[in-house]
Amino acid sequence: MKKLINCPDDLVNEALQGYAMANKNIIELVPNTHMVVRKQKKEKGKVKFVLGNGAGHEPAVIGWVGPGMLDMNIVGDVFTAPSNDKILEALEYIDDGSPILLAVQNHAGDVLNANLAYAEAVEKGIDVHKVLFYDDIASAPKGMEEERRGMGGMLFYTKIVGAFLENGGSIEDAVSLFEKVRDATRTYSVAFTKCTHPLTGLDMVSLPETEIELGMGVHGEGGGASRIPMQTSKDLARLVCDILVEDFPYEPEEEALLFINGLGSTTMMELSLFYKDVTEYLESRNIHVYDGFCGSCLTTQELGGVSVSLCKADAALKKLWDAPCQCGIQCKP
Amino acid sequence: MELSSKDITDLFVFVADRIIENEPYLCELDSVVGDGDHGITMTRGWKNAKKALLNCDGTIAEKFSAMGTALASNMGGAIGPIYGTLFKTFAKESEGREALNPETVAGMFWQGLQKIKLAADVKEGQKTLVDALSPAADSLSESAKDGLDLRQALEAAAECAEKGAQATVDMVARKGRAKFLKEKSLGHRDAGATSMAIMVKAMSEFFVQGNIG
Repeated sequence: MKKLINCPDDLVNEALQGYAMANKNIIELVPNTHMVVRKQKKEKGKVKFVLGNGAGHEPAVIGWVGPGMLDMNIVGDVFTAPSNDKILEALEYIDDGSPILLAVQNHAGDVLNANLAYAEAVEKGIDVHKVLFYDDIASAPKGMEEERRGMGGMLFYTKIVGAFLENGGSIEDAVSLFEKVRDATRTYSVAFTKCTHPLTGLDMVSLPETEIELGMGVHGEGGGASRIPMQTSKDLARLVCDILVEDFPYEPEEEALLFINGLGSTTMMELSLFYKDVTEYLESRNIHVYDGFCGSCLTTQELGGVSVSLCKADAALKKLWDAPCQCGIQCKP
Repeated sequence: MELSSKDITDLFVFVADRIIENEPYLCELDSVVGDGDHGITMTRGWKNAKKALLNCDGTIAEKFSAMGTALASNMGGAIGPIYGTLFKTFAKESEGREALNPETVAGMFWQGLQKIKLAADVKEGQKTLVDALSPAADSLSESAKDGLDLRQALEAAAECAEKGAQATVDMVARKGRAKFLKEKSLGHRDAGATSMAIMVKAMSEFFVQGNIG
C-alpha cells in the first residue's frame, strides 16, 4: 500500500485538520473533535442542518459544509459512522435553541447511532428532527425503497434543503422538502478498479482487469449485481440511465438535476466525457438535464468508477438548486 | 466460585488482549463480505475498554458501564452500539452485586441478547453477531439451571458460540453492509459472530488457564 499516512490512529484527525487549513475561510474544525462547522455561522433562529458519516469518502461530506449547505458534519472513523455519544455531543454543541435537522444516510451504523443520539437529545430538550436518506437503487428492489442505502444523491438534499434553510425556511417545511428531494432522487454506481482500506492495507474490492461491477456501493460491499466487460462511455451512459429511469420513470419534457460522481481514481477527463454522454442520452429519451455537477465528491479511496444520481426537479427545486452556496466543493458559485 | 470486582478487571483485560490478537483474522473475514476493518474496529474499542477498566476502581457494575461507554464511543458504526449495549446491560444486571455467580452471568447474557436484538432490530439466522451470542446465552441459562460452575458454564457457552459463528457460513446476510451481497454472502463466516465467539472463548480460557477458581 502506498498511501500518505503518519500514524493510522491519527489519520482521520490529521486529514480533518488539513482540510480545515486548506478551507480556512469557509470551515473550521472544533478543537479535539471530529466536528466540522461553518466559519460564518448561520443566524440564531434559523434551522441548523447537520449530517454525520464515516471518514474515507472525502471530500464528502466535509466539502458540503458552508453557507447555503450544511452547518455541521460529524465525522466518524474510516468507513465507520460516528458513535451516538459523538453525535449527541455535536447536537449539544450546535444547539442554540433553534431547531436542528439531522440528516441520516441509510446505513446500519449511521441509523443505529443517530437513533440513540436522537432519543437522548430529545430527552435533553434539544429541538432535533431526524430525516433518513436512501437513493441507491442497486441495494434493494423497487417497492422496498426504504431498504436502500444512501449514496451520491446526498448532493441534492444538502444543496436544496441547505438553500431553503439558509433563507430561513421552517423545520416542518424542511422535513417535507427533504422527503420530496429523496423521493425524486435515484442513484446507480459502477466500479472499474479496486481500492485499498487505508488502515488494513487490504483490498476492499478486487475486479478482473477487463470487468466492471454494476451496483457497487460506497464500501466495496457490492450490490450483488452483475459483472460485465468494460464499456465505452456512451454504452455505459445508456445502460445506467435505462436502469435509473426504469426505476423512476419520467414524463416527456420533465427535467432532472444530474450528478456524475467519481468514486476516487476516475479522472475528471473521463467524468466530463461521461457527463456529456449521460446528458445527451437522457435528452434522446426526452429527459432534459436542467443543471448538475460533475466531480469526485463521494469517494471510496482510490476506487475507480462512477455513480450517476438523478433528481427530478420542478420549478421550486430548480430555484433552490440555483441559489448560491460557498463550500469546499463549490457546486454553485 | 464467584467473580469479584477485581476478577472482572483481570478477566476482561485477558479478553481484550485475546480480541486484539485476533485483529488480522477478523479483518480478513470482514474483507470478504464487508469493508475489511472489523479487526481494526474491535482493537480500537477493546484497547479503550481495557484502559477504562484499568482506570476504574469501582463496583462490578461501574466497570461494565465504563467498558460499555468506551466500546460504543470508540468503535462507532453499527458494532459500537451493539457491544456498548451488551456491556451497559451487563452493568444494569450486576447493579448492587459484589460478586457474579453462574445465574447472574446467565442473566446478563440473556438480557444483553434481548436488548441487542431490540436495538439493532436483528433476529437469529440473519448472519450477525447474534448468531453466536444467542446460543451462548441459551447455554449459560441451561448450565445455571443444571448447577454447573462458572468455568464449566463458560466452556459450554464458548463451544456453542463457536458452533453458532461457524453456522453463519451457511447463512445469507440480512443485516448490515453484507446484506447487499445477498446470496454472495453464502459460504463466508460472519466477522461479528466470530468476534463474539472469540470473546466468550476468551472468557472460558481465562478460567481454564487457572487464573481463577
